[in-house]
Amino acid sequence: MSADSSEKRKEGLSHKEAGNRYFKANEFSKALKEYHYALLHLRGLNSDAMNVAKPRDPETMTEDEVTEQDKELSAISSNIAACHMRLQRYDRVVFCANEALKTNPFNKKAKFRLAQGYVREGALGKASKLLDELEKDSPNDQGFAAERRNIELKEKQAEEKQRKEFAGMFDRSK
Amino acid sequence: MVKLITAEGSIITVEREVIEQSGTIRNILNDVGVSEEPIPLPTVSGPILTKIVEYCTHHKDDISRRQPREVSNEDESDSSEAAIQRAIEQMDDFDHEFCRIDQGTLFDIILAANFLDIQPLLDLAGYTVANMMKGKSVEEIRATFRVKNDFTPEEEERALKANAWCES
Repeated sequence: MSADSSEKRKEGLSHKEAGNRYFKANEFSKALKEYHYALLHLRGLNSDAMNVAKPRDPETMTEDEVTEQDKELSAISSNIAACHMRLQRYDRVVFCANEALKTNPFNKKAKFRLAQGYVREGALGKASKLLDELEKDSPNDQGFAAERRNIELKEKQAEEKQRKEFAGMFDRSK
Repeated sequence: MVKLITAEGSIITVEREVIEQSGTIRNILNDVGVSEEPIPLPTVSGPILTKIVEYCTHHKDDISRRQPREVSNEDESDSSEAAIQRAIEQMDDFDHEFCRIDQGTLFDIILAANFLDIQPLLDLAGYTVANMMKGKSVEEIRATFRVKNDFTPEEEERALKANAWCES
């Protein structure tokens, strides 16, 4: 890596660390900014025009095609999604978790965040499918179990609501 | 007004509605807000950023460019072909003139458009490169783009045979 690139990398990593410190201190807006700046410095360090023109397809990528740099970028995007979770911006959670998965489709944390975002946005089917995949690898994870319960709760609530709305529907014509 | 820092460290100021055509910047502004603090773009040089701002300024009235592109999941390969066709049809004289630049600048624009997530510009630049390749033989393309031949003679023979159908 050229001297210039390693400068950028250092700068990027120090923003990432600042982001982590702010996150731990519950200062999520400040963490967001640091994580974004980290991405600005770390993205595009190894690109050349030819590989930009032919991006890899996340659906067909294999795990060994994911570089260390990809993993790093994906982790930062996933942290951005985590900030949005705490700031309750659930549409941004879904967007950023998806970005993280585009870079590294095997990022489990990002998958989980995506599921969490889906649950809170009401896309329970999509969330369920993701949890199925995650639970296959880690059947005893507490976090996954908690989200499962969330989904079941929301499904029950939706059923209740529907039942109330349709109650006596066939009696109204009498 | 949004402030940006180029790779060389100079500051370029631009209207929010112009630069929001960049998905990267749009996301940052949405998440972090506009402030006096400039946004660093360490991989984009001053001249390239200036060209990009020129492109975005010309297209600033096209509101669809300031929103994330909708991608439908069905027939994704079909829709990307169709999307490319549509993109080509929408290119105006400015776009064609914009691409009359040397190859080095063109490649830098591809990298910057990718970094800044400006899909229409990426499409435009990619289309221009594709046109530069049209009708050229393998050797001519290698010469034009200064690509090293890293095939062994056997690999090259195999590749030529496999693709012979498109040469006729």
